[in-house]
Amino acid sequence: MFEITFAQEVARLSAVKKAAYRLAALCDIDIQATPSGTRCELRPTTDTSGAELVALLRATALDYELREEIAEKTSAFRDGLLALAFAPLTRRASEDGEV
Amino acid sequence: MAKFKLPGEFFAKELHGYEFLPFKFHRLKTGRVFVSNIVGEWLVLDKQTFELFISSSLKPAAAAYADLRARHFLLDRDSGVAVDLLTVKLRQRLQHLRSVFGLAIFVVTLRCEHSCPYCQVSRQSDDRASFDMSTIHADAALKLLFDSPAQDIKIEFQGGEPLLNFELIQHIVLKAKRLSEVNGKAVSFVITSNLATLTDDVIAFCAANNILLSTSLDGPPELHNKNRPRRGGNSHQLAADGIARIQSLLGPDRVAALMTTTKASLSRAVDIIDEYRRRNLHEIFLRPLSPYGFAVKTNWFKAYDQMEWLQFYREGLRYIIDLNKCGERVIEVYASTILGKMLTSRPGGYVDMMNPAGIGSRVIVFNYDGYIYASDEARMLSEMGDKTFRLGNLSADSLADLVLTDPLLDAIEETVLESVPMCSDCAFQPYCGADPVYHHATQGDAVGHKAFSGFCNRQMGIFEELVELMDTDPEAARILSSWVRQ
Amino acid sequence: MSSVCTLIGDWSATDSSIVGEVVSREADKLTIDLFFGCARKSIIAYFQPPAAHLAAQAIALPANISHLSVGDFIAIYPKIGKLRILFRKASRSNNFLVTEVCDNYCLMCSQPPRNVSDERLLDEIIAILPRLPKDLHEIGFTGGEPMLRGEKFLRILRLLRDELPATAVHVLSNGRAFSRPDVAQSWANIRHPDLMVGIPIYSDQSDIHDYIVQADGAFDETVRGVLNLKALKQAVELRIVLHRHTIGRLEKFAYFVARNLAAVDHVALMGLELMGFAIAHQDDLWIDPREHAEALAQAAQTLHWAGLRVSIYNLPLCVLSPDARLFAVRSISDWKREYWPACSECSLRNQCGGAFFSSRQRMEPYITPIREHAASPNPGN
Repeated sequence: MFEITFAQEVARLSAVKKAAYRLAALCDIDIQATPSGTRCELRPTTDTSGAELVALLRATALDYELREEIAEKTSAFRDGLLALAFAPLTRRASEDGEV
Repeated sequence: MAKFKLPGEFFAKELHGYEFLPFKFHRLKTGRVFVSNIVGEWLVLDKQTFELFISSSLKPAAAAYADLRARHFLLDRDSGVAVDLLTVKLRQRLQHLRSVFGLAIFVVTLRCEHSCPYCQVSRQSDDRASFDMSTIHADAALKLLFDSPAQDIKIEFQGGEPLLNFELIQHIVLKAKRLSEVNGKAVSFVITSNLATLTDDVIAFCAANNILLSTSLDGPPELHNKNRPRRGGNSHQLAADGIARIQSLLGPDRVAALMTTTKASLSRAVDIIDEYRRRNLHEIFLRPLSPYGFAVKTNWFKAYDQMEWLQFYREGLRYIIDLNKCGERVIEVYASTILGKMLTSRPGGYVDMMNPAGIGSRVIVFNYDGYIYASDEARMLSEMGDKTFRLGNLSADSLADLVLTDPLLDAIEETVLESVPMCSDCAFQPYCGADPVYHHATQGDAVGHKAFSGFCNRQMGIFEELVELMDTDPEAARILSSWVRQ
Repeated sequence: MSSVCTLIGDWSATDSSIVGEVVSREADKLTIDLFFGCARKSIIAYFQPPAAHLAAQAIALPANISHLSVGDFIAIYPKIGKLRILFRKASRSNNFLVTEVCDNYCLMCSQPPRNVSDERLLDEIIAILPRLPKDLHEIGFTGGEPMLRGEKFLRILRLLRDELPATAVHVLSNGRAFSRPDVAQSWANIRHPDLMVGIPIYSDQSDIHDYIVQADGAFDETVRGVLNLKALKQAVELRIVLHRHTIGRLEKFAYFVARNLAAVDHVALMGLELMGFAIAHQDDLWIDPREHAEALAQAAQTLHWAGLRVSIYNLPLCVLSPDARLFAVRSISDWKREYWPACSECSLRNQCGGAFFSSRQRMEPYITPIREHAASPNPGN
């Protein structure tokens, strides 16, 4: 049985879940919340070894954690851009321009 | 003469560092990191530069800084125009949402004299009544199209073998042209055909009405004929002759060919491409096998998985690039479609790769029996017994009925990549598409679990291949850039 | 460019400038109709003033404008004894100077700005326009920065729309005024049938562009200006001058334009003209064209593949890479164009636009006749 536990500060639960989702074709993963963090038990379903899968899960979870951090830092811009892109062009006159 | 200021005075005097603009990343097998943003701008960074960038430590003097800034990954005090540019480009990308029915497929007959094992739909039959589209349905379909908001309509004739119902094609073309003059919409035509029944009359009609032809060419004779049997075993000969005739009578750019990949094709990438060159065809679409229709029934689809196909694709693509390096202009169409999305800000229109999905909006299919489908794959799925993506019927339904059906709207809405697991974080999202019909067919659910998705594996493989080529081979990068020309 | 002339007789009862049209020429004697700036209706001008039989008022013209002919328009500045040709009928491209004032200060500016009150230039133009031939093919406006003259300049464009509707108009501007949506809208409201503005952008990097034009914030304003104009479907040409500071990121610049400004109607890649400030800065700016041949070809191709119309100006074909030659345009005005002795052996001489007279010496080491049986430019690539 292969396992790894992620401390909250290292990778939040949503990041671990995303990583597990991504590896679903290679192994089954049970996820549990424990006091020391998010614990994952892995059972390989293909010929990728358990050790490789643990390493892969670690790296993938860390990357998803990074993505969450980036999303946090850029969410204001993202919302603003979408709002601007969907907004009607009220700052300008109509596209044909009246004389 | 006033004093001239030095370069340094134009770079924000106190460096306040930079802010991040929204972006996504993907680690390539080479260890380098691919970054992209919501408008499809991208860069490849070495690992260390990426680490510096994300820890807000990248210095302006770093080689990548200028590119990251110009492509809207970071924002500093020097310039604020990135936001204006992002907004404009985002609007452009979203523009395709407003264009409807760019592609209208008319299945004018189901009859065909070939019996290709991978075919989804055709019938060996002379029963015109049962398997030909009626004039009434054709007229109703045209009315629907020309009453719709569509501005630029491409009508594609499919089958079976469409030329077996050539009279109806003529009727539709002439009527569509009259309607387009009256109501100002642009219309163009393509006939997909195996060319086995191509006559001088057909060629003359195509010449007179500016119709393009698209045919199947699976490779050299023995491969093509094995994939595409017909009585006489001469499918390849007829296709090759037809191609040559069209090129000489209508022009070299008036006929295109598509290949379909089968297990037998997988080891023959170079041979297939050489066959295209032999036929004076300079564009090749290295297509995957789709999981619909007879293909599944006859087990051809399970015969190989996406990894094998990707190997085949890579081999074909690299061979094509080598040909280009020797001065011969050959284009791989799957790559050029993706490259159009990676290297330009044009909204992509290839139905299978649109986000939100283009089914039932960008494309609509009028089947021989009057039923209307959200896409060609939706029609094929229906032939397998699954009518989920059947929108309605020409006799019964109005345009609004058709496009506002829940199954269609749900399929489009639920599969939007921004809100779907794995896709929502994927750095290739700007270049990819939702394929609800594929995922419904293979996993029973329009969204699909992407870790198990042949579509996703295939797309990722191609994205990585293209990015790695562009990142490591400058000559290949130039060649690939040239493929985005319209 | 003004020339010295000698004014014969009493010119005190005139404005600071007078505008006239050459209505006849016999040998060295011209008759000029005057219609702006003085009460007199007509004047005689001489290239070689005869000793006797001089009229009370006349002009002695300098030899360097001996090509002056019927249908040309001139401005005379009596108080300083100068004369300027405003319009040459025989020229394919006439440009009117709108003002010498500018809010940029480009390192290579061929018409260095002066902070002067030259609104009268606009009055001269307004006086001339109704008299220009109606079949005039095209007309240009430059400066300084024409948009700094605001409404009065737009009035000229409206006048053109009404008086010369068949004449294409090309305005050179740094584009910054158009960053204000109301200015862009006023421009669009003119509804001229064939009006294009040529706007320089020198880099994909704001600090490099701002350095080249010597104005903080210019890049942002210029880009916004272009976006505003294109949103109103106005015709815009982007221009970039090729020198040391623009060559380094030329391909990146092309990519930037292809991604962000693909709606523009034309992109002009221009060889450096050694006039004005460019002369003082030439050691810093000048670059061996062969050094940038590859970058230039790639930039042109990138733009072309993205669907943009591209032209290369002011560079002879032999310094361009073969891939770039199909974009080259013969653009240099006749009197500025220069060939070299070696060109007589070049098989592409008749297609080549030569180079600027001002760059003649600098360019000479790179001029090599092409001896192929050349291919006319290949559109297929």
